[in-house]
Amino acid sequence: MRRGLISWSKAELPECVLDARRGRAQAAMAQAGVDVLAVYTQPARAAGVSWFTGFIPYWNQCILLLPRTGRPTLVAGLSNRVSDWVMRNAHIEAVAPSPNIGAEAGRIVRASNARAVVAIPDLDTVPGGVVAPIGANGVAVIDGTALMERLRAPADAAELALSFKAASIAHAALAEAGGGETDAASLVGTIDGAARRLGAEEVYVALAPDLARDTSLIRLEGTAALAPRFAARVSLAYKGVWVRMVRTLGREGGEESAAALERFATCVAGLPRTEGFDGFSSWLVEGCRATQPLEPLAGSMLKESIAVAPGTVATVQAAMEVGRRPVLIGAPVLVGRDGEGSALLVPPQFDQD
Amino acid sequence: MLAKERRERLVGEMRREGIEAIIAFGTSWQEAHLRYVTDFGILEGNGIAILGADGRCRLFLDSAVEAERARVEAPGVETLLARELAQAVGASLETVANQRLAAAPRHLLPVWLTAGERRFRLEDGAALLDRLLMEKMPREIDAMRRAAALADEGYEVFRQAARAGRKQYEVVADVEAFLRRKGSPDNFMILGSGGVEVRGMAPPSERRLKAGDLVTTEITPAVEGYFAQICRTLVLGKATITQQRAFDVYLEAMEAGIAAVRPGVTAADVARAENDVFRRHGLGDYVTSKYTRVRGHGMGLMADLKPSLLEDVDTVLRPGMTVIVHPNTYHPETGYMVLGDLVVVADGGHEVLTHTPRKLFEVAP
Repeated sequence: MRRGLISWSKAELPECVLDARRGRAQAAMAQAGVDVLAVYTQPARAAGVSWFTGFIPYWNQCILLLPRTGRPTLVAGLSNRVSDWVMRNAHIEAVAPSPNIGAEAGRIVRASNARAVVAIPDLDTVPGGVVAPIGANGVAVIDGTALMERLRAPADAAELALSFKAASIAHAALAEAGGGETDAASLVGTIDGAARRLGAEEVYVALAPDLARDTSLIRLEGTAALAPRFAARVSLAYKGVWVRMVRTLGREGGEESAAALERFATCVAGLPRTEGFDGFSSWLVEGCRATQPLEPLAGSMLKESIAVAPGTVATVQAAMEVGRRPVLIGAPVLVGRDGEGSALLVPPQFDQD
Repeated sequence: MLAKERRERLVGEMRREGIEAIIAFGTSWQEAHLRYVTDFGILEGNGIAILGADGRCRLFLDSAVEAERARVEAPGVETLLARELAQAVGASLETVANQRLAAAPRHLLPVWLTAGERRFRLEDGAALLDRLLMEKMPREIDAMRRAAALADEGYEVFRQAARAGRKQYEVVADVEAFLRRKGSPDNFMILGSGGVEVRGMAPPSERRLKAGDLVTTEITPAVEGYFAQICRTLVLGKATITQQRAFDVYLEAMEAGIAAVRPGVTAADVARAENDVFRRHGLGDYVTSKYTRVRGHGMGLMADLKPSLLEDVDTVLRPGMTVIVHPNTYHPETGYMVLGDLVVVADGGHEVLTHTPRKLFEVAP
């Protein structure tokens, strides 16, 4: 349920950028024999539709129908009273509000081509109640994940700029956190408020309130006392682009920060290769391939890795022991292309009062 | 512990109905069923839980950071990270394919689980879980009472934050920061500002508040997963006679709706009580779907639960149900206005859980 700033910024995501993305998609669709690309969206899986249109659903589910020519239609579960708001915040031809988005999408598809081939990215995860009515009565539904994935990598300049902006908000919000803080809820309020005032569309703050006891980053219910060393992670979205940053803070220690940063930066530079991370207590690389904003791609808790696409932005977080102290660190990374090293979008922070 | 109490209640109902496992789906905008079963408040990705009639509960999540959280935040539940969520759940269900399985909400389950050739068959279990979500136990009402108190406080912060020149999202940021500091991890909030051109509420934009604006909001903080909502309207400056006269209709309608709330009446009865007031004032057009969505709705483990307060919803209100009564709609002379209070259905009547004065607030711009 989004309640931060949601508005399509034509300065940051110009219509020409969205038209170019659409044009690439339609060319790929023609080549693959796809008549309609149907991209599902809901607040936790909004990255496909926001990439095409700039639209973020604050609530409910929608499906974008992109035909082989022309601009797309958004079939929206949102009430018809917010259709004007949708049109102001999405680069689309039309909005079609309906309480049953699958049935309405199926009707629209069949009206133009009764035997259409419809590709749905991340098909296996889309609700059956949405897919089944689209695929009824002669329409063929196929998985459009690979098609979408090819469109998104490498990221274009607009997406990179939004990623930098999101990273800068995360960095600034975490910079508001003080190592001298003793109340966990107060710390969460500081970070959350700072990120939203800077224009974040959504903010999740997770804490490890006592690193000496547990390095798990959790969402706080109520409050807790912060131990002498603790860590905070902010996950946030800006105009549909998600990043995470992790910062270790405390009232003592800190001499380990330079060593931790050096180890982390060395491993990050090697991306898309991930062998360097094996020495960490735990690690995780996430990125957006199709519609899931921060999909787990590789990490210590994953049995198999998915290659991180060069030229995309990934978020990396790791836990390590430095001088027998646990240190958590994390930041977004631009994954290098053509043998270039990968680079942190913003430097991870450590510090103490 | 509330989560354990809930799960035991559900298992009891499953046994009574002969259901051997419940499959609950959840994602951030439809989290209630998953939260009921696991007590995990999902934020990212999708989650599916399998709860057996023996009380064993497994939670499958496709986000790695969510899996880390769930292992700590949902004790008593076995958490599994599964990037291929549907397939992992499907593999588990294959081993119990001969059992009676019910899913909720079934229509939101990934298509992989509901289409194609599977040995297991998933019934629709929404009716069972929806009833438990609606008819709350005393400890659930306690959590809602605390959330309602926070909603009242949150509106006070909103009134302080709403000043001419501030952008909508900056005002929301103040409220969110306040709620986090009070330990509430979640909130649902939309707002509107302006005049007769404003036809509803939406997420915050860059629009700057101006003197004379009507500023509407609904604030919905959560405590232990339970959401409580308040809706109020303020004027940046002195309210005009027209604005005050319009507001009086909403007040009369909300109070008529609340007065109708008691065990045995239907959701339609409450909606009708609200709408009749508008009709008496010649504003009948503005209670139709062209101008408004619902006249209130259930609340609990989600910000918008059954029953919807609409004149065609025949759900009977029972003790333990919590509904917000809000005759929010467009007014042709002032623009969109809101007013709503949270009510729990009690034996013989109701109790109002939110206590902010029912007035059109005037705030110095």
